[in-house]
This record gives sequence, structure tokens and C-alpha cells, in this order.
Amino acid sequence: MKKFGLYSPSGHRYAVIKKGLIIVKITLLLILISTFNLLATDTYSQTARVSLKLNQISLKQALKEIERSSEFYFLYNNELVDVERKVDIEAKNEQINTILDHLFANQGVKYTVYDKQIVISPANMPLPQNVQRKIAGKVTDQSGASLPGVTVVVKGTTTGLITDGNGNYSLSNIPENAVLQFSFIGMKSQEFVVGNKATVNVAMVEETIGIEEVVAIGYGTQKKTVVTGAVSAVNFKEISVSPTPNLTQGLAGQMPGVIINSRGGRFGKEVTDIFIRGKNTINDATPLYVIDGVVRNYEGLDRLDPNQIESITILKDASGAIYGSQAANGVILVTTKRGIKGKPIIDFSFNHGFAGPARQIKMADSYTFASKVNLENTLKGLAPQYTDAELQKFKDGSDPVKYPNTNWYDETLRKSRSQEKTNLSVRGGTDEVKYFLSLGMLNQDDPYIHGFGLNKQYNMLANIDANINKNLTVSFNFSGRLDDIITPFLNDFGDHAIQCFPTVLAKYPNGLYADGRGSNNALLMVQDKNYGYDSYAKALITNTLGAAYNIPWVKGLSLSGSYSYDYYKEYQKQYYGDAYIYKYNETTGEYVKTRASSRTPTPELSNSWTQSVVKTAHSKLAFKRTIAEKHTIDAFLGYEQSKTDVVSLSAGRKQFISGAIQELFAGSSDKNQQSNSGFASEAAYQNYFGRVLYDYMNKYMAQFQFRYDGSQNFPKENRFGFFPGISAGWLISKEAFMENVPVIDHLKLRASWGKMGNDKVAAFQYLRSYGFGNNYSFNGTVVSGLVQSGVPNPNITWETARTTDIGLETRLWKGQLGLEMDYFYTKRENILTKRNATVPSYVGLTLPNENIGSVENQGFELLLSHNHEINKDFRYTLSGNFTYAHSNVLDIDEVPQQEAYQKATGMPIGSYMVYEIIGIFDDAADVLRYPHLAGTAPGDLIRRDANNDGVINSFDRVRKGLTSIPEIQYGLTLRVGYKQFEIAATLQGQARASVVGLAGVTSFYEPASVGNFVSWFAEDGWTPENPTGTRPRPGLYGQNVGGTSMAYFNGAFLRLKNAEIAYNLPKALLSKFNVQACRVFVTGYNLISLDALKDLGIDIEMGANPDNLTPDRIINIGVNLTF
Amino acid sequence: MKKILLFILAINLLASCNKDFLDLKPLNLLSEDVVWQDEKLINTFVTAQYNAIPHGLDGGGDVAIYSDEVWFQANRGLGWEWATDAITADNVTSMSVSFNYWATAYSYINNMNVFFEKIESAPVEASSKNQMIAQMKFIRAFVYSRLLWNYGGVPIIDKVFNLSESFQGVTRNSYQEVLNYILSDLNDAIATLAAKQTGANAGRASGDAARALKARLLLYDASPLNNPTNDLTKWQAASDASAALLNSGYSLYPDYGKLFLIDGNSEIIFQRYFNASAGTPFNSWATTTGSNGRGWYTPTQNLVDAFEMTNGELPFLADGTVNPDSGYDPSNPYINRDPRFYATVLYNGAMFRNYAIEVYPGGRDLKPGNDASTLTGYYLRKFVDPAQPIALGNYGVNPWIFFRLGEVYLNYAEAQFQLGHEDVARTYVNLVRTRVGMPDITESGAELLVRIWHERQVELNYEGHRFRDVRRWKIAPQTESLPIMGTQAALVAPGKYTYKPVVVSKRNWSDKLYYLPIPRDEIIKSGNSLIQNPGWQ
Repeated sequence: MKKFGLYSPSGHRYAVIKKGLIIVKITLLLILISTFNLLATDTYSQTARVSLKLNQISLKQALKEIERSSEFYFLYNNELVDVERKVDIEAKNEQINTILDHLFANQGVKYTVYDKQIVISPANMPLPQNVQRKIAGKVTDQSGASLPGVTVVVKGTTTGLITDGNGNYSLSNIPENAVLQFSFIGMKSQEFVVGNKATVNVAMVEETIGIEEVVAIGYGTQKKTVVTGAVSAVNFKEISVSPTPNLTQGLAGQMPGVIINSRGGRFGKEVTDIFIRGKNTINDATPLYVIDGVVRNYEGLDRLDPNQIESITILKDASGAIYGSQAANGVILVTTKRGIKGKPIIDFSFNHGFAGPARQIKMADSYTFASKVNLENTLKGLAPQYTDAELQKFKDGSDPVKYPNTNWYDETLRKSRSQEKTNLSVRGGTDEVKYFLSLGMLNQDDPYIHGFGLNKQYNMLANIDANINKNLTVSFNFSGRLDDIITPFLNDFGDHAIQCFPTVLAKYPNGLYADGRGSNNALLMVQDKNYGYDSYAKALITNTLGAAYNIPWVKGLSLSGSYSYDYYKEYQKQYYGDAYIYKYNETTGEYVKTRASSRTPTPELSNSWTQSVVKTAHSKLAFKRTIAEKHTIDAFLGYEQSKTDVVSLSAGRKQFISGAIQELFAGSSDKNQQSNSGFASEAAYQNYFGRVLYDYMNKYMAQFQFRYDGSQNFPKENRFGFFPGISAGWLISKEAFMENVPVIDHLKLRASWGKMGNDKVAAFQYLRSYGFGNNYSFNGTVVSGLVQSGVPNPNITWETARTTDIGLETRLWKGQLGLEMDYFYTKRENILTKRNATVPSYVGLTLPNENIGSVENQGFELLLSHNHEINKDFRYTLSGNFTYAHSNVLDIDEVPQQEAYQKATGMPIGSYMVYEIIGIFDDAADVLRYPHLAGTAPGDLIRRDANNDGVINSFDRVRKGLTSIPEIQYGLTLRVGYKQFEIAATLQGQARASVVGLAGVTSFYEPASVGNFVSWFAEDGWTPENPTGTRPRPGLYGQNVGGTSMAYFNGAFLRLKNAEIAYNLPKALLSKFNVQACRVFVTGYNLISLDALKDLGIDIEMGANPDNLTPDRIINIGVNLTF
Repeated sequence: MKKILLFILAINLLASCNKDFLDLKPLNLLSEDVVWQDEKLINTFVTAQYNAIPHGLDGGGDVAIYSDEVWFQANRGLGWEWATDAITADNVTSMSVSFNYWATAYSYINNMNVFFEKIESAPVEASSKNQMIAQMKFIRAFVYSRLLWNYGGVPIIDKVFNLSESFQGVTRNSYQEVLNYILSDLNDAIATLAAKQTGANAGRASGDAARALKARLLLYDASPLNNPTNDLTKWQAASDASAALLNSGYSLYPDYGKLFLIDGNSEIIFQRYFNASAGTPFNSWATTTGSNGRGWYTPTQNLVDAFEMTNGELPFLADGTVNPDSGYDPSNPYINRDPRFYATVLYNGAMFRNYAIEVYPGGRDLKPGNDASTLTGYYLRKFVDPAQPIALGNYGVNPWIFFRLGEVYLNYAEAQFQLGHEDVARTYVNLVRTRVGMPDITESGAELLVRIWHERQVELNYEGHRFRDVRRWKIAPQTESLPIMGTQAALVAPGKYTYKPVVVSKRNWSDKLYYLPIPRDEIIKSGNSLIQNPGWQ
């Protein structure tokens, strides 16, 4: 390890920096020195006695031995002090001065003892030769607060000092071409050319990848260097925040082991899948969300405001055991920003985005469609639907009213729409009170042309910490979120937009809505609120009051507690009114007004109102202390309980006379046209948990944690479970023998094992109960029925996951290259599933879930990072991650399949069976050559006769192992800084996945009877003239591609998920306007995608649910202002 | 300092341990002991069991969609395995519930076994208890009847299993054992239940409902499939069972079309009621695409050709040529047909919902723009109430009739014929024909039997009989190997059409199709003690 010393020509101050872990102590020391002019307290050096006997070793080695046998440590510059010379020491209970006097006798070297720290320097440092000028200035942090203790060095010399208590420095005799280097622990080093300036003021910027980075680990934090678990953290200062309004989507590709897919969804209700290290169970595999220390599972991360988040940490291995029965799917910890000491910093950000569908399903045009209708008819022996003349008109577009070419997606979807995100926050504090307050707003325009949809969101956050006295701290966290969402009633939108014929108009030239598809006009649906809409008004209020007390009698002991009260409300309204289309009568020339086909025959409204209250209380007794500067113990014991109460009311009325007032009272007063209902439920958790972290000299770390967890989901006897987690780490780079490997800055080996649970199952499965339902009508009146619950399972308990993780972390070449590798193996047992294989239906029992399934999941993760600062203007970082996770069903009590290739056991979770399509029958002779279904004709799919029995039936379905959850996911993030510019880009990729590309979009390629189809079918489609076509004929009766391999596509993709160009306005300019920082940027989201569904226009991640909107491509411009 | 300590204590007290904290009860469920002590709740449990009996107005349309009567246009997704001979004991479970009835039936049988176990000790008055027991016996009998018709002999399960016992070794009871078990239940029901349920109880099991089920059951039992030796005592039993209902206060409803739309009309012996808040989707699903319905239930040419001309002659001879005596005009095929044709089938030019149906290329009802235009050239009118709204929800309120007098007449006629009483047989067939104004039949001998069978095909179409009738008569090898046919109309001049037969689907018959396969899983789970039906192994 390289050490260097600094000499100040003014004579009596030494400032020394040694890279490594003692750095903190030094910093403290430096601050002390500069602030109080160093009162030499020689207590240790006067009392300590050293005994050593060493012969002919290097001075360097000798000093190290002294360090090892005492608490002294040495600081020196090995370019100025000859540490390679051989020395002898023979000391018995000697004071350090005696030993040092001996070592340095007649060496032209002097030493200075500052308590335990000893600085060695040449006795007569030569003064710099070209003595010229003086420079002074002030060093501050980003907020403008003065920064004492910053090292200021003239580059290439040993001239330097540290800033004083007010952050001021003053250096004289500076060469004219001097470059000043400013460095401070935890801050980025900076360099400035002095030129002819007399004053250089510097604002230090926090180091983002500081070695002292702290991560949240559940009920506490830990220095990242000593973390022993597999933990991924995203610091929100580091990532470029994605312009997508959905935070989960914005994080895709950023963390190893975290698999995120955007499944499309509705406006304001995006569907995102997030799996930690793949899917480990056949049941609910969603992770646990903990926000500011409280379990909060409201819509995951989807609707959080990234401006309010400090960091997100993912606990992927046994480190989650502290969350016991809920942790098996991984834990996502969100930490919001808190106040920091200093004058208020006001941040304002504004983003304006232009969003539009990244993909649009490619439908056949009217000519292609009409041609295929004719072909289908011809193949059935029917007359063609369209004459050649009509086909020609579709083709040339000469009569766009009678022979139109309507693309229903073009008609309905906006290519670009606006979205705005605004956030204003203030952060600051004093010694007594620190605060962070933030208000965020989001507004998204409707994705449909002239649509009436609405998506507004407000996020408010206030985190306040107050020191009541020197031992007591209290905190209050408040967050409020309001969502207002209105969407058209979209359940059939996809059907209509896809299947509706391109040969009909959406609107007549006079602006009236045309017939569409059986009076279901997709355009009307999204434009006329009366056709039907869904609206949601949601509010989530969370409050946490906490207090922490350092018990004064025992050093390091503290008691803390908190009480949280979360209130969630959802008010939903669904209205279906009267909307009209017009049918044109060619003979009379009239437009006949007709009520559009709706879900309801008369206007009706249904309302529901649900509230959920969660009360969580916890208390914790903690002990943290470092003993003899070697043994650090950080331990606690905690207790937590939470109770959830949900109530819901719903009501509806039909036969609204007028749509003018869309509230319940305005509906029919006939009791038979009214309905109401309500329900309630409650849930509770109770648990004890604790953790012991032990750390020896930051070199050997061990951790034990546990949770004794009780859930009301299970019967009394099985209610409590014990979930332990252990882990250990060895910071190899701290070992003496590593000092000779200067390349390695950091090398850590860690391993963990833990047991966790998954209790996400329906409650009360242990009780025999009855519920109302299965009603029946007598004499035209509905009479209630009563349904017996399934057979109770008195033994029901949690799923358990046993997870092993081995990780290696290293950082090389002064942080230029970072590498993290993890291997993991999880065995999930007691998976709740039904006894499929053993209980026949004839016993008539509704089977309970029983803890009988088991699944294993294993894989590895890799995180590579590279930082390089080429010069003061040009720096870049490159970070890549890679995850492989493969699950394997060990036992789900599967009924023996007739064919071995149909077994689900031994395959990944979510494997499915399909008929394998091996081609298209060319002609009648070809059909006869291979087994086929009854009625098969040329142009039909050739299903593989998998069992070679000469018959095609369900036993020929073959199980496929790749699922929609990718086995491989990777990401690559590049960040480049050049002068005031920053460029960032994130690539996200996945492989070994399979997606349904066709089934949902168009299972039935039957243009004549069903409707339009993706043009993919027509490209190289089979026709009598093209018998070798690779796509089937139209009108495949019973040859539904949905259950065949033809519907599935390779799910691999590589996409440019985020890209950003930013410019930081020069400070000199900003200071005129009292602005500290101003950053303007352009961001893109979902810019490029390379995948197999490009030709279909379907987004690879969302699969093919046509009712869902395709994820957006967003171009965003924004500005961040700091005052 | 004291204040601080108090504060800390208060925070921690809030989080203090509470032993009963996790002892929660479900807020939306009743516990078992409450239910079986309360007559009203028990009655509610009984009510729910009526759902055990599939009706024909849901997606599956009972078993009609698997017969030659109706081509279920939407079964591209639901039943293509059946249409393409890809059905196996493995994927039979993906079919509609009336067809794949096994698991549903036994689940309800278990409910009823629970009832029979609990009702003994329930503090309910004897008379009320007996009424509930008799209703449950009727439902149980109906469930087993449908199992018997689908699969032949099935295991009789008359106990409630518990999870810890072995389920293996259960064997199929014989056809006769199951039949006897059903008959015993039905006889108990007949003895206890009022012959007719009225008022608020209309739609509950009645004595006559039990009699009607018994009549159908015994008719099937006497039929060739189950009576290879033609044991006449079986026909006598069938005849007696039907005779019990001939003079019980029911009469043929004069309007054949409205018969299926009006609750509690004079002909109905047992029906399922619906209302607007719990209706069926049938109306929207069956209505023509031109009226914004889905047009899923499309009558086949096979059925259309079965309707006689008003003169009583069939339009086609057995060899497929036009019957010269019928007056049938292939270029104008829909005139002078049996009135039941007009009540059943919507054909090109038929008036419906205030316009003439257009089922030709470019016509309103064969037009691009809906999920499924007809492939057969026809839409269903029977069961479709034009007064009901077309909407995607379940708004259909017309009844599903399980038993009606018309069927009983034809059951009786068939049994009487087999017993040699041809005149009685003719009389009852003619009663059915007279209602719609069709001329009497006069045939005798084998020709008469064909007329009786034919009358069932026409009169009871789409009511779930045809699928079972062709099997029990053992004529399925002929009827079920014929392709499903349709017609294609073409507009040649205003008001002038040509019609061309088209093959909608080719079919193959195999004798295994007399019975449905027991799901393969069931056989494995029984430890192979269940024996699969022939041809499905």
C-alpha cells in the first residue's frame, strides 16, 4: 500500500493521507489539527511500551511490526524517506520515542508523534526552487457549507496543507503553472490550474463510488465493504432516472439478479414483473417491499417518485432472513431522502416527455385482408367475398370512403403525447432538526387520439429528524400519494382494434362514427366517455413516528421504537352509458343512429370504495460498540407487530335516464335495478427478530440474524416459524500478504446461508368454513346459496426457502475495475400446492393447498464496473451486470404423464406444453405423407407426431422449458462526463426466454369469419400458388396456432432502455442568478429494441395481450435546478 | 429525563406483545357448526346444489354443440379437439362442463354427502328436513343420471372422504347398480315432494320433475345401447314412467316458438329460471351478427334438412336426391316447411329483429366485422328472445327447460311402439305434430319407428337429446359419420338467391364415442382400479 506524506513549508503542520480504512480516523484527525491547532496529547505515546526484536529487516517492515504490536501507525512518503534500508531493533518495554530515535539516528529524517499517529519526513525538506506567488481560497461542499480538512496540494510537488475550520486555505510560493489538487475523503478529487488567479474557490462534489458507501440491510445499515450478504443497491444519485412514470420499469437492467419486465398494461396501471433471481415458486413470487423500514406492498415501486428516493437495496440471499416469513422472494428496501445538516438546498426539477407506443401491432391492410378472405372462401368451396375490381380499389385507394384501408391502431393511438413530471424539494437542517420535504406531480396525457383519459399523481413526502437532547432523537416520516386515473373501458379494445376489418371506416367523412365491428367501434370506445369508463381515485397516506434513545449508562446501547399508520383508499367508478354509431343506408342515403353495442343494455354505474389501514409498531434494543479498536459488535433485538384492516363497500344502479349526472342517486329508483355489497377482512403479523454483526478489524466479518415470525394465515400450532440467516466475509485485501499486490484495492470473499419463508397464501385455509355464493333462481328470483370451503388443512404452513450464496468482490487498479460474482442456490420447499397426483376427483373434495412442492433455483450473477478519469475534463464509467437463474421443479405432485416429454417435474417453473409445428403441408399428397388431424388440408400446420404412434392427439404435445421469465438477463450502463456534459446509456438484454407472440393477438387466422390478422401471416403465407409458404393458409379451422410452437417466439432481446445527454451550466454564470447548479438534459426511454417480434410489431416484453398498451418510447427534456 | 423515558416507554408500549394478537377469525365466512344448526343456512346450502345440473344456455349449450344439430362457431377455441378427432382421455378435461362432467359431478356429490351426513343431527323439524332430503336426492339422481349417460357405470360415492385416507381402489359400479341407485333416490323424491312446486318454490325439485327424469332414464335404459336383448319389461317400465305424467295437468303450449321463452308455461315440468341480474349470455351469443350478436350457435344443414315440408314429406330421400312428392324447391328451399323450422332456424331472408336476415357474401349477417359469422349459413332462433337486449353481459332471462310434456309424449310413443302399441305411439307423436299444424303420421312398423325417431330430432332439437339419442338408438355410426353441412347463398338478382351445399366439417365415427373417456388422471389416481371405457385406453 502506497503512502505519501505532505510537507508544508510553513513548517509545523503535517498532513498525511493513507489510503485504506484508517482513512476516517485520519480525516477526523485532520479536522482536529486544522481546527484546534493540535494540542499534542501524548498520552498513548508516553504510556505505551513496545517490545520487539528484529534483525536486518527493511525499515518498512520494521514500522509494520511496530504497528502490529501496538496501536501506533506510521505515515510517510516512500519517495522521500528511504524505507527499504535494513535496520535492527531490539527493544524491551521501551517508549516509542526511544525506538524511533534509534531507527532514525543520523538519517536526516525526523518524526512527529501525534498520539498514536507518527509522521515521518525528511528533516530538511528542500524548499521549492521557483518561489513566486500566493494563492488562497475557500473550499465548500455542494451545498456551500465550508469544508475543513480538505487536502490542497500543488500537483507534482509535496507542497500542500489542509483547509482550516472555515474551509479556507492559503498557499504561498506557488509556481505560475501550478495545478492545485483538492482531495477529501468521500469527495471527488478536483484539480484547478492556478494561472494568474489569486483566489481559487472550490466546491467539492461527493464521491459516488466511495469506499465508505453505506447500504441498507434491513433494520439498519452497514458499510458496503463489510457487507457479507448478496445485496444490490441503487443509489439514486448514480443512476440516470428514467423518464418512464413507472419506477419499476425505469430500473430495468440496472441491477444484477433483479429481473424486470414491462408487461404493458393500461394507462396509469402498468403491469410490471419483478423477480429476484428468477421465479422460485409456483405460487406468488413477488418480492417484499419495505419502504423506510415498514412493510408496504402498495403497488410495489411502480408509483414512487424517484426524486424522493435516496436508495433502493435488494436483499437477495440470507440477508433477507431478517424479514422471515415474507422474505423468500427477496426483499426490496426503499430509503427515502432525509434532511442533512446545512443551509437549505432547494431542488426543482421539471420534465416534459413525448411518449408514444414503441411498437404498434402490424395489421394486414385492406387489400391483403380482402385477398385472404377470398382465399379462405375459395378453399372452403365458397364464392369469393370481393370481386377483382373491389380488390383493386382496396389496393389503389381510389375510393377511400367505400373501399377504405383502415388501420385501427393508427386511428386510435396517438403517436406522441405529453407527460410532465415536476418535483420541488427542500433539504437542510441544523444540529437539532433536519428536514427533507418534497412535492412531486405527474401528469400523463391520454394515449388515444382525442381520448378522455386522465392520469394524475401527486406525491408528497416529509421526513423530519429532531435531536431532543444528546441522547434522544425523534423522527417523523409522512408520505401522501394521490392518484386520479380515468381510462376508457378497454376490456375489448384489443379484440376490436385487431379483429375489426380494415375494409370498414372508423368515421364517415362527415365525422359521424361508423359501424365499426358489430357496432363496436374501437375509436368510439376511446373517444366517447359514454361508451364506458373506469375511474380510480386512490390515496395512500403513510406516517411513521419513531424515536431512538442512547441509553447513557451503557456505552453503545440504544433503544428505539416506531409506530406507523398507513391509510389506503381506493374509490372506483365504472360507468357504461349510451354511445352511438351510425349505419349508413345506401339506398336512402341516411345515417341511422344506433346505440353502440355495450356491455350493458341500459346505462349503469357501479361504485366501490375500499379502505385499508395498516398499523405497524416495532421496538428495538441495539448495541453497537467497537472494543479495543478491533472488535466491532453491532447487535439488536427487536419486536414488531402489524395489523391490517380492510373494509369495502360497493353499490350500483342501472337504467340511468340521463348520462348528465353519473352518480348513484341518478340511477333507477327501482330496487331491482340497484345493488350493493360490502366485505371486511383483517390480517396480522407478530414477530421477534435480531441480528449480531461481528467485525474483527474490518477484516473478518460474521453475521447472524433471525426472525421468529408469526402469521395469522396459519393455525395456532404452525403460526410461528424460526428463520435464521448466517453469513461471513473475509476482506482478503486487508491481510498483510496482500500488501505486495498493489493492483488489488479490495478483495472480499463472502458466503451466506439462510432460511426464509413465503406466506403469500390465502388465510384461514386451516378452518372449515362456508361462504355465500353459488346462487340459484327460483321463480325468477335469485336465492342465495352456501358454499363449503375446501377441505381444511390443519397443517398448513409457510413455504420455506433455503438459500446459499457465495460471493467474491474485488476492486482493482484504484477502483478502475470492479468485479462482483455470486453463485446462488435456493431450494424452496413446502410449496403450497394441491395433491394432484394422489387425490382423484371422484372423492369430490376441494383440495386444500398442502406444503408438498419443492423447486430448486440456481445460477450466478456478475457485476463488472470500470471507472476511468482520463483527465480533468473527461471521465467515464462502464458497468455491466449479468444474471443466470435456472429453476427446476423437483416435486409438484404431478400426475404421471403418459409421455415422458410431457413431465413438468424436472422442468423450470412455468413450463408449458405445445404441439410442435414442423412445417406447413404443401399439397394433398403432402398431407397424406404425415399423420394429421381430421380435416387437415394443404396449407395447414404440420404437428409433430411426437410419440410416433401415427395419430396426432394431445399426447403429441411437448413440454417446453423456456418461459416468459428469462433465464439470462444482462444490462450495461455507460456514463461519460466531458467538461460540463454528461452522457449516459443503459442497455437491457435478456435471453433464454420464450414469449407468446401470436396467441393473444390472433389465435385464429380466419379472416372471413373472425376478422383482421397480423400481416405476419400473409408474408410468405401458403397459397395454392405458393405451396411452400412458411405461414399457414387462412381459415385454419381447429388449427388454432395458440397451442402450438408457432405462437411462441424467442424471448431474447437487447434494447437501449435509457439514454441521456445532460449539460451542467457553468457555475460562473449561475452564481449571477443565485443558482447553485443547473442541469438540462434530454432523456430517451425504450429507444431501440432488437428482438424476434419486430416483424409483428409486438413488444417482446409484454407478450401478446392485445388489450394492454405497448410500453412507450419516451423522449424527455428536463431541467434540474438547485438553489 | 423522566419525560424522555416516558416517551420511549410509550412508543414501546404501543408495540407491546399481545398474546391474542394473531387470533383472528375470517370476517366473510361462516363456521361449520353455525351452518348445520340453522335451518335457513342449511336450506341455502341445498339451494346451491341445484347448480350441479348443467343447463344449455351457457357457452357449452349442453351437449348439443357436439351433435349434428348445431355447429358451435366459437368452439374453434373450446372444442376443436372434438371436431378434429384429437380428443383423448387426456384433453377431455378441456371441454365444456356438460361434456366433461366428471369432476364437477363428484364435487357436487361430495356436497350432498356432506349434507346427508350432517342433516341427521341438525335441529330441523322433520317435515322440513324431509323436503330438503328429497330435493337433494333428486339433484343427486340427476347428477348420477348424467354421469351414467356420459360414461356408463361410474363409482357410487356415498361417503365423505377425509384427506388422510386412501383414495385408491375405488371401482366403477355397474350400469345397473348406478341405475338402481338413481331410481331409489327418485322414488324417495317422488314420495316426498309435491308433484308441482309453485310460488316462490317454482323451479325447485318436484315430484313430477323426478317422474320426468325417471321416464327419460328408463327410456334410455330400454334402448338398444343398454338393452341388447330388447327386454320388453324395460320398455314397459319406461312406458309406465312416462304414463305417470300424461294426465298430470300439463298441456302442450300452443306456440312452439314462445314455449322456450315463457317461464312456467303449461308444458313445462321442470325448468331453470333466470333473471336479469343472474341471466345467461345465450341471447347475445346466439343472435345474428348483423344484429350485433355473436352468432355462435349455428344450425347445421343436417338439422335443416330434417324439417319436413308442410305436407309431411321430407325434402330429401335417403339417397340425397330431392323427394319428388315433397314439393321442395332447391332454389327456394325455405318455403312450406314445418313451422318448427321457422321457430328454430334463421335462414337467408328470415325476418328477425325487424329485418330480413342476409346470409350471403356481402349481406348484413355474413359481413366482415364480427368475431364469427356463420359457417353453416344459418343462425339459431330457438331460445332467442328478440325482446331481450344485445349486450355482452348475462342479460338473458328465458328459461332452460329440463323436462316438458312434449318430450314425455315422445318418450311414451317410443316405448309404446316397442311394446307393440303402434296406434298409441302414432297418437302421441301426432299430438306433438298437431300442436304445430303438421299432418298426422300414418306409418307403421319399422317406418313408424323412423318417424318417431325423426320426430324427436325435430321437436327436441337443441335441447340436449340428439347427442344421446343417436347413441342409444345405435344409429350414431351412420349419423355421426356424415359431415356437418351448411349452405352458401349467393345473391344473383335482387331478391333472387342460389344455394350451394358446403362441407363445414368432416367427421369420423368410432365406436369408442358411444361413451366419453374418463379423464386419464382419474384412472392413474385410482391406482388403476377404475377401468377406462373401451377405445380410450
